[in-house]
Amino acid sequence: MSKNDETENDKNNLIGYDPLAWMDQEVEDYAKEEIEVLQQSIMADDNVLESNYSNQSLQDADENDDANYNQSPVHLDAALSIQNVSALHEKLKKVLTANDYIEINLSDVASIDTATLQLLVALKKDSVKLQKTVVFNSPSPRFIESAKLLGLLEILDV
Amino acid sequence: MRVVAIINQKGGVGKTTTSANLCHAIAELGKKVTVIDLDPQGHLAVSLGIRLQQHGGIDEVMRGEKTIQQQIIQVRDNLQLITSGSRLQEIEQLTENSPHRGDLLKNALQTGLECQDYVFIDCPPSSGLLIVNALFATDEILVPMTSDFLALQGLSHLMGTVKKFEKVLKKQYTSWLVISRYTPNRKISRQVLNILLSHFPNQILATTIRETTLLAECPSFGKTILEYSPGSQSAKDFRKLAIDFMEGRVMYVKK
Ligand SMILES: Nc1ncnc2c1ncn2[C@@H]1O[C@H](COP(=O)(O)OP(=O)(O)O)[C@@H](O)[C@H]1O
Ligand SMILES: [Mg+2]
Repeated sequence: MSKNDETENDKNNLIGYDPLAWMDQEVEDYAKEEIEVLQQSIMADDNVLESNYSNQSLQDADENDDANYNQSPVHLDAALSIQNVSALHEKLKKVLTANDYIEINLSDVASIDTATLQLLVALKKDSVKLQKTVVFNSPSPRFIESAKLLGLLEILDV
Repeated sequence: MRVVAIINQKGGVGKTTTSANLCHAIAELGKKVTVIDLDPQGHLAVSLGIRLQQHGGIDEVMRGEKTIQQQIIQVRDNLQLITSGSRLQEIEQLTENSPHRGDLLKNALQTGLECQDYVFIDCPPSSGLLIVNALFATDEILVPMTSDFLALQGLSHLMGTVKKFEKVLKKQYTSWLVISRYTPNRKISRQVLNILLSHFPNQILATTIRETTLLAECPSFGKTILEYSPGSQSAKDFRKLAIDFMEGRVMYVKK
């Protein structure tokens, strides 16, 4: 895959319009930047978003008593993975319903996977639609690293 | 247990190819996988070597006539199949004597699959009642995509549908894209991929499945690529894709 292909992108654009443009105007226009798409042929393992999927059992969200359930700030667990996405989604939904200002503390996040990041992006977008505010606080280095790798820092505003 | 719909209303994008080969690759890694053929054409069953379709399938479970356990066919180690069955089309077409409901599949899956790690649903290329049932039954979708312009148009339509469902059902799908018929030597492929990356920066599985003749050949032998040509690039692609899917490894833009 040659770099030249990419820099000529503007001149030789083969796509007249983007049917998906409605989905997300907030997303940056990658077409103007130097892009490298990582594919398996050039993808060394350390380039991949590695999320240290620890198999340690997570604290069960249900341990929280109901009184604290809907309150902000929400502290996210250390290991966030797809196994717990539904539970986290349920929880965040309730918090979003109960509050206009939601603070999410990311200081403990030691590993986060793409499924959880999807959820946080969706939460941020939902909050904008609902004219509510979601703030991500004290992001751990691991969180920043993962979000940056995927170009999500701006959307999440961390 | 993750219940995942392999979905795209466009035909020929690689839903069935992805279903058969990804499921087999995950099963080979020791996970318990059930795959459901929700396409009345029954191509998934054929791809996995099951040709005798007198055996009832998910149709009878959705109609409340049988249980899931009664319909299971063990097709490989760790991999079980539930065929479409001959009356699935009636549910899609809303014939007189079929139940018109969106929650039939969800209900059908309630019991009998508890010990499975993954349940995949190979969806039909349509946007009728079967798709409604698939979206009711799952929280997670995997969208196979080709790398051509009309595929973007199709995806736009699909995402519109998905967003409507999210609103109505008050849920959030975890969604993944897989480039399932990639032709790297065409320039437009790269451009389509770039557009996809801009809209789905954390959702395109890291491994692209390339267009190869081997992948086109293996269904007629009832074999997955892992059996038909275990050492091939396509077999390696699907083994990698299995890990991508299990661990959420995605493609990203290097800045
Ligand atoms: N990566 C690929 N390389 C070559 N042929 C493919 C590939 N993916 C799918 N095909 C072929 O394209 C046709 C349509 O694929 P299929 O998986 O049945 O699509 P769908 O289920 O979305 O309709 C089939 O004949 C299949 O063998
Ligand atoms: Mg198919």
